[in-house]
Amino acid sequence: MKKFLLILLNITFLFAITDDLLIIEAKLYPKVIMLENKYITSPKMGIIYDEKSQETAEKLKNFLVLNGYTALLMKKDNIKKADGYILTIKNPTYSLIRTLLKTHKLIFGIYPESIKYTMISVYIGPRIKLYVNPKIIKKADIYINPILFKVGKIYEE
Amino acid sequence: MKKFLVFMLFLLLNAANDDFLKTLNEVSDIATKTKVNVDKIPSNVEVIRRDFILKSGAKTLLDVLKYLPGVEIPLSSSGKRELIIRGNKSIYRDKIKFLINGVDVTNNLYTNQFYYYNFPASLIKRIEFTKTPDSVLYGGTAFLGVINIITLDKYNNNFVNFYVSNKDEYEGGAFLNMNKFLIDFYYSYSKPDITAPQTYLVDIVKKNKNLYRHKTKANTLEKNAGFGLRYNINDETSLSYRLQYYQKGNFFGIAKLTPLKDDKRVDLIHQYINLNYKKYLKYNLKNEINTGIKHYEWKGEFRNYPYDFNETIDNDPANDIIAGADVKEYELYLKNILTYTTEKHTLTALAEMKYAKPYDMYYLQYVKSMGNNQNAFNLGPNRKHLTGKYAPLKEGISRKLLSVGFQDMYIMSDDFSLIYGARVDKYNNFKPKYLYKLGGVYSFSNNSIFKLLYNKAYRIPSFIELYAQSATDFNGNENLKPETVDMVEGIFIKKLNENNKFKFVYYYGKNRDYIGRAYSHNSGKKVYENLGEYIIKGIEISFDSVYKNNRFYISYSYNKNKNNFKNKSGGINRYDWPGTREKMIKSYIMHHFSADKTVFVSLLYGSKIKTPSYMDDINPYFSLNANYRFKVKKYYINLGIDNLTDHKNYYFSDPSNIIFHRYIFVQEDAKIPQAGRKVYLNIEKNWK
Repeated sequence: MKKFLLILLNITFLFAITDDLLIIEAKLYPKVIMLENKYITSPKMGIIYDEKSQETAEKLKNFLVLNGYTALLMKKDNIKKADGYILTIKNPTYSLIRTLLKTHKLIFGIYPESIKYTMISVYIGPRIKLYVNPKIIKKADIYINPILFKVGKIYEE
Repeated sequence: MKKFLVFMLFLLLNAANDDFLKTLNEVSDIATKTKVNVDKIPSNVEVIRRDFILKSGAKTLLDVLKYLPGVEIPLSSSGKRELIIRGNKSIYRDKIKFLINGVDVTNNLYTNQFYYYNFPASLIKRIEFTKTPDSVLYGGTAFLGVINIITLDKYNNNFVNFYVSNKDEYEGGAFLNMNKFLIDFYYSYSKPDITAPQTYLVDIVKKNKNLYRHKTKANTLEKNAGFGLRYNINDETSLSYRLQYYQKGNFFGIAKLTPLKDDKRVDLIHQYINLNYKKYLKYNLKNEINTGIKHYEWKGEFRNYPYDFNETIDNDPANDIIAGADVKEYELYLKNILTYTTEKHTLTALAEMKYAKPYDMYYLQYVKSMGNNQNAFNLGPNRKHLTGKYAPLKEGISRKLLSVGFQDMYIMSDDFSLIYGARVDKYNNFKPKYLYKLGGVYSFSNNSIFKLLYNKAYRIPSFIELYAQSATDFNGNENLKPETVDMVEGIFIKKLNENNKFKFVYYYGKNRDYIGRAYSHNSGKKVYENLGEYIIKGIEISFDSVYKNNRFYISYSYNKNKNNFKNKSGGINRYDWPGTREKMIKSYIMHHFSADKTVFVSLLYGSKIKTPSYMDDINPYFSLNANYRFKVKKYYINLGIDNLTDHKNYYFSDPSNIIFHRYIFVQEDAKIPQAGRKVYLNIEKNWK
């Protein structure tokens, strides 16, 4: 039953993401990488998708390219090298997350709710904040700029 | 040296932090502007996004707005489409602020904008409809709300489309995204045949009614064309130009007497050039300047009635009194908005100035059959341009405005935000007007939100309401006071889960010094006056649900507005019979077969229109509509039907003005028909 509900959410959320939210993420996520590593001036973003999220992933890629960044579309079972990864899949498998953690790169999610299994997503309140998951960050054993904790909202499970 | 390197690193890190914080503020700004966080901010905005616009099969802006709760879109007998918001019907003026990409396109002449109502839906990226008055941010005409149309931008693909329907309607349009240049243009033509109702001549002295003109074949000609250009000079500066042209025929007659032949035309052209400059002075301090010029022209003629009333169905149009005018106005404006963001506050300070002036105007009134014989009917023989005391407006008038204001959104916590602001507007010839707002939003949980909003807004009378001096129906009154509205709204949003949203709105407002036309027994004319107090109150309930590949939406609205006017003519206060529908139900279901195949079915219902006891009420409105959108190779196709059941829908047509102190033309049962079932096809080609 739980599995069924997860599949259902996967489908329904296709309609919940708006282009405007993707545009926000395409502006914000590369800046987070540049904040972490000042030597990267044009981050290469890996966009991970599956069949259901392919259209959304392609849109996100266009928005990133329009902002002057490099974006690579990657199927969930073919992860390539990038400066950071954006997950467009609503409910990724544990093995996919484990694979991404091994890259020691930042993992972003396009849905606010993605924060459950990514390091950073967006928190939509009266103002936009970064939603930060310290537990996942710790698992990847990477350092992030303390300013993210200061201006972001910390996800508590 | 080491100290120097540490210092340089510190500067570098600070610069990186500033850049990041600036981006964070930018995206918050985008979220607020695009209404991504609409549920969490203290305002009541309905947002319609492109996905819905395309899949609903909407042809025009009004085809989209009809799905919003509390919005009624009738047609007047003169052919003017109206936007009735929460039961507020204001003939010829809709008392809202209308923006295209943030540029105000409401004219000063009559504070209306109906030339934009047929704007192609295909060119719209997003519609933001604020049904709350908001004079603090938007100034005087944001009286009953604000509509902001966002057109396509650099994130949209090029496209070209063509639309055709069985009601003699055609439209073609295109959008071209050429890096620094964004261009859109379109042309549309619509001329559905509709049978005009028979017209009676009522003698209010003898109290009798006689058939004057039989049912007759009529049509409702509308032509629209537009061109938009945006040039992004650099990241901070852009220049935009937009032209909107609208032509309409006389429809069912401005005097409620449908023209038999030789229909006349009215042409309206609105243009603007806007220069936008925005710059972050610091990562948390943004300055935005908009300046430009607008130009508007109303030019046209209306066929009225035979000068001697002796004609019947064998009417000779050469005996009709033709009235018309040409009025041009220009407006210069400068607006500066400074936004300062801290952890808890978003403080906006604004200053605005504008200057508007009508110029080069004339009035027309002639009877063709009278030739050169000048008299009270044939005032300007052979279309002579009448100026001076016959000009449509008093000459030498202008409007100057100076405004300053502020607004602060105070985020006390993630769960509670306040908004407050004030503004003062100083128009020439009027005392300073003080406006303010106060509101709050509280999230009980992630799924339950409550908002309480209060706004005080005003509307300065238009040039016509103040200075019209024509011999026909539009007589200004220089003693008019601005009308004001105090509106309170309570909004409760409950997300039953992440795919279901329930919204309840209650509103209560007092419109003081309501501006409307009142019949003067002395002059026999209708003159604009401050009629008194008008109470606006009602509820709106909506439920939006996404389930599997379906989206289901239903809304119910009810308004119980009430006037306290003492204006009566012929023993009747016309404002007791505003010709609106108190209850409306709007619903639709959207089913996605795949990303490129969608069926959209909607059902719209409006309760009957109440009329005085001596005539039948106008039947409820009912329309079942369907649209199928699919992709064949590189083409998107919309195939649809409006009013599938061919239900006989009618709009309200109020009686004509009193002519010669005793006559009124009345259309049968005070109603005019809708065009009926419509089948349409829209083909669109997209490319990058």
